Amino acid sequence: MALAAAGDTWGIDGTTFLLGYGVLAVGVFIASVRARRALADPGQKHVVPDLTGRHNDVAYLNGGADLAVCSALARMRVQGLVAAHKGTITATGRPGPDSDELERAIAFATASPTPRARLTWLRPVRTALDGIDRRLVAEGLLLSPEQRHRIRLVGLWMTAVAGFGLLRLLAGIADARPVGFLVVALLIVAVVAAVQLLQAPRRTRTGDRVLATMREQLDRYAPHNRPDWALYGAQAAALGVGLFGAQALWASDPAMADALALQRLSGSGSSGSGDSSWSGGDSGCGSSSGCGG
Amino acid sequence: MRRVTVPSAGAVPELAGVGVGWRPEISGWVADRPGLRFGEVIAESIAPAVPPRGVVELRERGVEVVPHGIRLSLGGTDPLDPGKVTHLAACAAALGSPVVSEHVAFCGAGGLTAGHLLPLPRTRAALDVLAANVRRLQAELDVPVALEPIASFLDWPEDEFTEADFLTELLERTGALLLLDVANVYANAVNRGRDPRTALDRMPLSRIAYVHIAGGAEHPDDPGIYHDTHADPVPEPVFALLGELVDRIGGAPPVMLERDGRYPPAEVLSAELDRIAETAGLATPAR
Repeated sequence: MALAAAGDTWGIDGTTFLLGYGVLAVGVFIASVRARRALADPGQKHVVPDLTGRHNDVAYLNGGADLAVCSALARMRVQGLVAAHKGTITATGRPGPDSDELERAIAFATASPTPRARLTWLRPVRTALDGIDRRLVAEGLLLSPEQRHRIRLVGLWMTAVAGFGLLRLLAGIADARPVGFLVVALLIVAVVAAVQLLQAPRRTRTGDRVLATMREQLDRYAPHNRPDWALYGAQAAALGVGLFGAQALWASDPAMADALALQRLSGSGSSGSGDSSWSGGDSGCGSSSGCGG
Repeated sequence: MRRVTVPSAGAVPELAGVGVGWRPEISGWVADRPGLRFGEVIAESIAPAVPPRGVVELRERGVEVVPHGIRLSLGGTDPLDPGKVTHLAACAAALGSPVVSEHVAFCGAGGLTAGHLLPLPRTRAALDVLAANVRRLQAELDVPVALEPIASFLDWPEDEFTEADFLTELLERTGALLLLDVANVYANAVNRGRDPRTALDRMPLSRIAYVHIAGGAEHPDDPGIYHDTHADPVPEPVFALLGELVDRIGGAPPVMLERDGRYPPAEVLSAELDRIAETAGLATPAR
């Protein structure tokens, strides 16, 4: 280790300070990550709910309001309750008793043709989505705004480290000492602090686990299987979209996805499971074209 | 009516009961289907080192899975692709299959691939080529191979054998087994104005490993011609032909439903599989 020299800022030579600053930054970063994870995992205050029958809640948990609307539309379209053309939705039937508040709201809102992208802003739909949000927060699957705020505040720890580095930087400049490496370290710390201050997860870790478990159990609805919604039914279509994102619809029913004007990669629902198929077109021998087998 | 000795149990002892063609689109329905005894997977659609999860789960349940090749082109004059032969053998090994199956057909010639199973001219020369290719395949396999005659709309003018005689000769020369698709028998007979029951009588039924059944329909643009679509319900006459087959062999053969598209709701497909089991004299699985 270099010895302090008379001209060293704060009596600590640059190399020693950088080493100590790096250890401090890494230590605070690890502590902040742990603190954020702990805040996102409020503990088992709640009984983990079974969401199998709540497809739109699953979609909201996975991808928020847009995916919940997609999930509801997928179910309603398989049931023949809505028609879609170039992203404009029109109700064609009345939701049955098994429909949820979101589906009833969408049916009401699309009594006249309505662009899908506008649905989440319409009052009845917004009210239904807010209800889902409150329910998932109450069940400990989504984080409340207050919890997310507390998680973001943990970013102040790294901000303090950045501030400390900034003081040293200014002192070093004042002493006409070289500060190039410190600038790099300070930039890294500042970026990490900014990300932590601006970003917080939506879901609790319980919510993540519930989604992961459902994706594992319902792999049959994953896009790589190109699940057939006519066979599995409307509820499965909605669950597939909710769990695996809009790409589940593109994989299974591209006509419907196109009619709903869904983006091909919207939603956050990759299952993460590998597709063991070699080629998508080889699943059958007959098909309507008939290969003779 | 000619009655033959019950063949199925002796041909491939592990195959019995009712089965279904495994397709990823319906893997959840297949997984939930009780009483399934065997299934079939398109060999070219899987990697033997990493079979699809649904297929692995079937094997874990004790359901036999038969790799069904569709691109070997056993009747083609081009040399068999060694990679495809190895792949089929690897599928059988990976799945612990008691038998593999392929088609009595060719898929292309001169390096061109048709993308369909094409009917062979039933000549002595074609039989020689086909038998040689089957023996080449058998040399790579640790399990028997069952050969499936296809549905086709045409016969070659130079045919020297009837389909039944051609098959009988092929199976005798190679020792291969028969994968009999009753829907194909029906399609070939009705599209030529013949009685499917007579066609059945002439088939080498004693060599049956297992039986396919599938749906079909007359295409609206092609009236009077029956298409073996695998995407329509099994029609009544095909069910009746399955019943005729059961009468002829005097026992319940392993029967498998092939469905490749335009799937109906799960309960409809389940009812169709139940009907197949009942027609074949197999126990109807508990729902």
